Amino acid sequence: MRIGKTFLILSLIALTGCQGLWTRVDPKAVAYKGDHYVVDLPAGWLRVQQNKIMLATRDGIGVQNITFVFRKHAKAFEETEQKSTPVMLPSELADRYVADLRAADEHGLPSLEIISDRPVTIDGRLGFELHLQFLNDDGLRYERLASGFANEAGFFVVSYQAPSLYFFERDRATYQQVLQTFRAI
Amino acid sequence: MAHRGFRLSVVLGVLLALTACQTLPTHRLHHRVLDAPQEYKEPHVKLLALPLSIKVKEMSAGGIREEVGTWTKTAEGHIVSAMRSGKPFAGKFDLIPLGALLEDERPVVDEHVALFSVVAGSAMGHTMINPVETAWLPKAKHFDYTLGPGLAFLRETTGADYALVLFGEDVISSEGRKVAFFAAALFGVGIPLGHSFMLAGIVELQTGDIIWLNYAFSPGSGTFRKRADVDSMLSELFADYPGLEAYKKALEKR
Amino acid sequence: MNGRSLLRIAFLCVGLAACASAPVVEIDSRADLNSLNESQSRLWYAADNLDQSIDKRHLVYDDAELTVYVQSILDQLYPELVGTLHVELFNSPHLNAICLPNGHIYINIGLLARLDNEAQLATILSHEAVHFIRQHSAQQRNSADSVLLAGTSVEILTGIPFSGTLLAGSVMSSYSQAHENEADTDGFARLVEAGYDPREAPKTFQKLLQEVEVLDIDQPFMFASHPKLEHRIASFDSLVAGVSNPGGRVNADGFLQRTKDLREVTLVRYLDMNNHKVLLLILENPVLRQRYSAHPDFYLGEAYRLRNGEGDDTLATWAFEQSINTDPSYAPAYRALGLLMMKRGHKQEAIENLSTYLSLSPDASDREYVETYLRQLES
Repeated sequence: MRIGKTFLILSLIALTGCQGLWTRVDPKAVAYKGDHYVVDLPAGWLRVQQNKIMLATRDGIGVQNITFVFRKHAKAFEETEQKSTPVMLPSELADRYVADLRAADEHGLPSLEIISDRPVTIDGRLGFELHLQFLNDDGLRYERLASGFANEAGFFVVSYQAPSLYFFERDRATYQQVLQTFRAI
Repeated sequence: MAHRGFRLSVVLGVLLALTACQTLPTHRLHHRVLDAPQEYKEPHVKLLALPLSIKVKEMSAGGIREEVGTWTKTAEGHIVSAMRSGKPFAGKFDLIPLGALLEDERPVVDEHVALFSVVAGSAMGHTMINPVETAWLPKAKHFDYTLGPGLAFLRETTGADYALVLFGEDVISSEGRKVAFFAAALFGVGIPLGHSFMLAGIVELQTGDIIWLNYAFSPGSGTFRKRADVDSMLSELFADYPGLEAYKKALEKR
Repeated sequence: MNGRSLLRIAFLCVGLAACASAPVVEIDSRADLNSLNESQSRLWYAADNLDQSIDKRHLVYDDAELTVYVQSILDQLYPELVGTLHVELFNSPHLNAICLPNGHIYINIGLLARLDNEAQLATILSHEAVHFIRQHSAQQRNSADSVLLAGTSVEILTGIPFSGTLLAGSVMSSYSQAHENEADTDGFARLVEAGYDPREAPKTFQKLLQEVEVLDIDQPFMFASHPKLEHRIASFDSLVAGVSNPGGRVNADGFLQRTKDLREVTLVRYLDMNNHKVLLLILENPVLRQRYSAHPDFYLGEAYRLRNGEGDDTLATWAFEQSINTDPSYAPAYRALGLLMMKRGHKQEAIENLSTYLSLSPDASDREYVETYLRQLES
């Protein structure tokens, strides 16, 4: 049971009053500008920054989340200690992304299934889109769509994750719309 | 994989930290209940009891929490017996046992119970623990958590319109732990003792909407090992069903 | 009564409370299962729950025939505990094996695939079973609680948070050196009694030591925690020296034949994890390499490609070409070679190889990628 850091964060949220760490996406101001990208977030969703990762959710990040990650090439794949390059083929990027996911799990994530792995265009660049499925500790099926590409600045991944039961398909279109607005800066 | 979000175990941790800060319990009603309350006031609602998830643990002198199988079985027996008696529900529900499922139905039910843990955990963590974060207040006021319609098939097979999902954890301090507690207190240091926690959700089978969600939390007193304490906690849990007036008042305060 | 006296009384009470635990019952036969103390029963229940969790997460490797074979080894070693000791193959490529307090042993497919023979497998199983027989978990749990209690006391006295938790954490994460020594010694005796060649016992740990050194593994795993592997090998050498006319069953051929498919599966896993170090460790070793019949040159080429050191590009190209020469119908080698050529700017060769890949594998899951690359090359 990994309470640890999450417990600390939650306690701080609860004990320090009402403001907390979450921000609601105002329907009149959906544009979000990070250090390395801009994107339109879904109106009415909530976003939070955890370390260098931005997450958006409608109901809670365990129910569904859209995640935005940027990493410099030297630290693109931290678990496997592999790098990315601006000219790396999207299939290679996808391969390393999956390898990093497996390496992050103590058993190599044997339940991970690659449903599809194909090239896509993101922000005018050739990238990858992975559709993955895996089980959580309670045997609940989760699916993840991960879209990524590399440019001169680094490696970008936008991903959407939700339980297979009901939720994954429900907000999939929202994710696709968000992805259409993603621009590296 | 990353982003585990709220699971019930995490929410429990927060509750433990907040015992000095608020009055418990509180509950949530689906916005559809507020919109059409007459649909949900029907007496003797047929409620299908989904598999319980109850754990009774002992906390050792050093703080190790260890589930005790015999205690868990006793607690399950008390809870099932209490629910069958109908007393905690005070006439609001007719409880239907789940009964035998077909081979391909059991995994579906189990997976939805696992889904409930995630969804209810999020609902509780973000909208039910005071003070609710400002950003989450609109969600708290327009509660729309659902499991989706995957359990709708149970309506035909059982005749129930709703399902009851119940999670519970009872952590009982060993005698050694109690001694350690007093020893630490001599030095002005607090160390945690046990607690009892129950989370109950009523799910509309047709839609999967969690139409009512409530929890009861008791730090340090009461145990699922005693039938009287189980009766008391269940009664407290279901006292606020549907609890429309209390719910509206609670919303006005925020 | 002054503060110091209060402190003494307080910790005496706490100490007495912590020490009031029933003696641990060792499992020498199935009949002993009826006499477990409360602590042991609880650990057994926790282990049953862990089994269910492992099952829910699909962590058991599904190969009934291989599982039956491994179980038969365990049953030969401990005939008095048939029906109590169970072994499952754990779906992880890492080198590890554990024994739960309920007698369930999980041996990782990664470890099983790397062993040389049945005697080495018997070494692992006989060791793990001793943890169950001597109920080391229960002994460890009792000491862990005392340590945690001591830790809590340290926190109170020093005001330094988490010092107690760190102290306890190191106890709970692995068996103690004394327990591991006991498992080695008692397990060795069983190995000899069952007719296996005891000289394989130190060899088991010698090969693991080689892996630890080459792969630069720094986190503790089963065989690298307590005691250190070098000490362990020396300890086994000493045990072997005490056996007059050491010899016995090894059964390398039978073991390697039964684990052939498993080895191929683990190669795929290592590639999926981009673990070029393990792939090179296996495939650059001529003895180990000959155990992998399904396209070892392809995996070797991939390992060089992933390592991406000086000269690796050339080595990878050579390896892929070897793979194609050995089996001209093996599609992935063409893909790998085609992508290498593409990155080098050798367009024509890239087009030829990628096109051959698609013609040999029309249902390839990465067809869209390859078609995209071909369009880029041909434009």
